[in-house]
Amino acid sequence: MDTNIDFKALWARAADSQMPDSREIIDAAIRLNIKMRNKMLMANLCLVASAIFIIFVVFHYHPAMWTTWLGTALIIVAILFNLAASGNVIRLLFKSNLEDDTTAYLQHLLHIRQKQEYLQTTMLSLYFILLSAGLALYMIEYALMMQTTGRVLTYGITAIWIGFNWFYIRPKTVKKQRAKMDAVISRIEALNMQLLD
Amino acid sequence: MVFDEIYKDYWNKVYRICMGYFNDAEQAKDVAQDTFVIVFNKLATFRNESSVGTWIFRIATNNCLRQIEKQNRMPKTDLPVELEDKPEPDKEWQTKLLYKCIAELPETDRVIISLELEDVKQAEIAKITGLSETNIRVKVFRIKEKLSQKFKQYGH
Repeated sequence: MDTNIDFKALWARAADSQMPDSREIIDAAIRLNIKMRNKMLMANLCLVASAIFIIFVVFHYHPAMWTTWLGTALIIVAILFNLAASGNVIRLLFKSNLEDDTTAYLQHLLHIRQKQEYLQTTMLSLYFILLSAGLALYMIEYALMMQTTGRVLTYGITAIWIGFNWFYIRPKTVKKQRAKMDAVISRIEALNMQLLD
Repeated sequence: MVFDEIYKDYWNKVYRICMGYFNDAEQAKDVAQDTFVIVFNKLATFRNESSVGTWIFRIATNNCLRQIEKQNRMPKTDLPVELEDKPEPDKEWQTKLLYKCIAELPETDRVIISLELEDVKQAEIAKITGLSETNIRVKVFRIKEKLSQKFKQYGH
């Protein structure tokens, strides 16, 4: 084989004979914009729906005790946290800029993903804490109307449910999220290292 | 600047850079298309702080690199079977071999060598990657050496 290989000549030989029509690209761009807008709308819709729900509960049931009010509010806040932790809101908040140079882009991306990992796990824990506290407070008014057995049963079952979520579901979800994000972070870190090499 | 003009001028360049990165025609086309979707959407806010070329290549290379979030290390290392035993390689075979060798390099090396082979000036590559020009010169030299070794290794 020739020792002086003309890489540039070989490189230039590869061209895509089936260059898509520019209209296709423009249509895809428009579709993407609509999708992004819908995503934003959906996130806002969930917030509005939660707000409507709390207003409905308060006006419909007229709770007499402040614990029920506080409990309802905590549950709603928990739902909002869960919504944020689900990723869509976080993704909308932290956007990477593809127009940056590679070094800046990768560093920023790494920073975003590290923050995202922290936020996801923190928000998930907050969600469980708020939901459990909210539920416990919310139930006081109705438990007081029950007999002792009913109270013990209601709070017992709720405690088991909360415990199951806190000690089983939460660590499992956090572990899964961490593993996924850690893999991504280490790959981005490897790219950063390549540039420093 | 009109999108159609940019598209015509840069499609093959962007496509080749994506090919250098993925060595997979289908994926290269997808990522190249995606790059132009971004270019179209951002064109109105492009402020001419850099040349159009630098701007497009930045988007293209970052777009290639961000695919790492979606998959593991990805070089497609298999040469098409019918090409493996060919004794006297022709130009087409050599082109395929070159892209295969590039796709086996570390990700950022693929980006740098693709830009170099695309005849982008080293000063511009420095602007695209955010590295110094000296650094790029050294890297290009090293990558070319690595590439020649790989190329010969497969060629013989």
